[in-house]
Amino acid sequence: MSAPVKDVTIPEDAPSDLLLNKHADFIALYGAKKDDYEYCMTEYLRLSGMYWGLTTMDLLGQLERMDRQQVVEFVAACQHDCGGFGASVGHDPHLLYALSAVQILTLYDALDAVNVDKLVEFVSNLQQPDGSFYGDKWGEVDTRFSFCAVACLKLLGKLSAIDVEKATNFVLSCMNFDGGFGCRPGSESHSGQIYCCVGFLAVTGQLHHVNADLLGWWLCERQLPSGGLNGRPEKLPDVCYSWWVLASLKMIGRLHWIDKDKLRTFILACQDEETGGFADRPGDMVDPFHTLFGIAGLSLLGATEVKTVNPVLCMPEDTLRRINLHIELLSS
Amino acid sequence: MAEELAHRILSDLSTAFQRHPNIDEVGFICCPTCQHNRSPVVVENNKLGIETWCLELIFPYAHDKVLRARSRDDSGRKIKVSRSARSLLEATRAVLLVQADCLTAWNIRKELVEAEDLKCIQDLKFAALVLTKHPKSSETFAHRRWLLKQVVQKTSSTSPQPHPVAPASHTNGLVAGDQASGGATAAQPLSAQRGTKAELPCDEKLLEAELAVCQRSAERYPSNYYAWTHRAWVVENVARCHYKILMRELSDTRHWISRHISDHSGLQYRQFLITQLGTHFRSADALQDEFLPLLTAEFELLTDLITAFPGHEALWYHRRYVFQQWETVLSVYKCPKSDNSASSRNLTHLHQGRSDIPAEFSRDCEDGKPHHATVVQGNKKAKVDPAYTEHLTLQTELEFCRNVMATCQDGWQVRLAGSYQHWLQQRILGRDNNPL
Repeated sequence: MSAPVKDVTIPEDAPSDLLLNKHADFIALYGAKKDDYEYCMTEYLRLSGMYWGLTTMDLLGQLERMDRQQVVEFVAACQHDCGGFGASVGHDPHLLYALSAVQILTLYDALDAVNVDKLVEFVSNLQQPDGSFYGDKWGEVDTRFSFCAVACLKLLGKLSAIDVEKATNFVLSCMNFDGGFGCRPGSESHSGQIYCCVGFLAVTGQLHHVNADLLGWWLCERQLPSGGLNGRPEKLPDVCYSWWVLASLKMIGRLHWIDKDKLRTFILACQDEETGGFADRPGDMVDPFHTLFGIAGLSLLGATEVKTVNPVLCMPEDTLRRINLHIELLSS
Repeated sequence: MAEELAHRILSDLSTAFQRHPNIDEVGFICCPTCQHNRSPVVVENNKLGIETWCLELIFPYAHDKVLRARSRDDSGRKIKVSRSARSLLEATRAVLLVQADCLTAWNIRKELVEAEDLKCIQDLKFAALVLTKHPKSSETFAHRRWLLKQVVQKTSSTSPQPHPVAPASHTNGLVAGDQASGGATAAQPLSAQRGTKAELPCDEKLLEAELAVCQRSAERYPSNYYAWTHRAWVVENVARCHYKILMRELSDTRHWISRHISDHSGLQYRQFLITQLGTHFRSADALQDEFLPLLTAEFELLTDLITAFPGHEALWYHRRYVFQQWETVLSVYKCPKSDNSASSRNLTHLHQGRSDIPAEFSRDCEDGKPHHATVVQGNKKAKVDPAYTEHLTLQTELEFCRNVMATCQDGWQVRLAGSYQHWLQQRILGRDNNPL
């Protein structure tokens, strides 16, 4: 008795060219309709949603189509007295949205619109004695928050506001025997968490702690016959996991270990030819989240039609050059 | 008009919860338009159904109510809005039944708990209901952890703990009072728990209920990362990795895993249990007599499952874990007993992540005698076969791979065996690592 491999079949008529302008239209339109139920349903992650959309537009070279002033005013309105940012106006502050806010404001070179000192205070106050970070005052711990904290501070040029050594020790305590990382010590390795932990080590200049060959091999095993990558063993391939695995491989200098052509074919097949945008898998519903990671993935694979993306912060390299931010990666 | 209707449906929802306090499952009834002149809220046999047409009405309405509790004026200051606890409970309930990851709504409920307008146990029940519809909602599990911390904190401050064990080093001080209880009992050997008399450091009913919530969520969504990492958190922070609970969990999930062979998260939970159990065996003798049989049983289980169900990557990955544990333990027990430094180095490796285990391991078990215990796996008692111990080596594992590759018809299984073989070689021999 054998089980079918958990994978997808790419339809023969699936798109194989990058529909660049369609995606820009999809994002521009998505940001414009604000009354529907779906918009209300996703308000709890609005700032992240805006970061996905705006970064996509910038990578496509069409950021000027978005209303800069409106965006900056909205982001500023999401800041709380404590310095943190909520996902939307009236939502509680959390590290996840602090990073999205900083990323958006960096894209627009508009950090002066918010209270940066208070934000730095908010982030550093969330660090715990063991080096980990709470996501907010309620005390949840996750390596995702460690990444958010250092990425945020790096973009603000304030990494020294926290105890980097302790923070690193906590992240390293989440490393597993397979070379991967989970959300807490002893938790299952997960591509999304690996991206955060490897990203953390890249931002803090500590990538030498990674066993690049061991982790690289685990990440390569995420590639399925369809060419797509999954996030964990026996899960379906997904465009967002393709990004997290790909970006992690890039950071540890092992990007050449996967079959790039097959992955490119898979990502392109996840486009919707009519509406624009990318879905998680061919034929599914598109959304801004998968659209950013589809475009960013293609950029890492060398697509020349889009800007070069930074694998650590998932932002255009030209933006990071403008603020003189350089992150050292492992060489291949 | 729409607002009036939304208000009425929200009232229907509240009435349903009042009349049926034991609602234990929620689902949406696919019904795009309102077809009958009756409430879209239905309860049958404690199952709550909500017709989908009304979600677009009640969600924005309730969401707006929740946000008004968080309103700020133009200068960014919070406006104190006087809202009754009941109205906030109803609004957050409606929001969370539809959108379980709305963290602001959960936070409002935390504030209601702090104000004693809501009991932890009540909210644990509600969060469990939310998980029946949204089994992988990370915010719901995070909220449960917060609630459990409150309950554990309250219990430990009102009743003296019967010899609580030192918490695992990586709990990050999650439970308030950890430091105090851990510090006071640091001298208590972990191995003392293995005696049958050691009491559980927690309310058993609370623990059972929480493990059941994890189990149901794991059933509803395969490889449910949030459900299984939460379960591990519960074992660490509520049961304090008590030996009896670890063994019982290992036994209980064995059955489950045999029926969910592609659930890598479930298998990884067993890795967590085995790693934690390893810390209870502190001498080389205990490791050999008690821990090795446990790993042997895991190898045997995996061999059976891999053979019976070819092509499951999760099983092969779990085998990697068991092998590396095996290898580490073996390196401890093969060390001459006088060579404490080599043994302790290996033990430290085995116990990585547990800094409460002193690097210098104790010379013997707590009673000074080696244990020749057997390991209970389900109803089967396994005693380690010394011959098996000697022969299960890298070579036998490589042989296992070669056999599969030579005889199996399933191409994917052959590929997985090849991957395992490569992993073994890479790990042990440090050969060329490039997979291409």
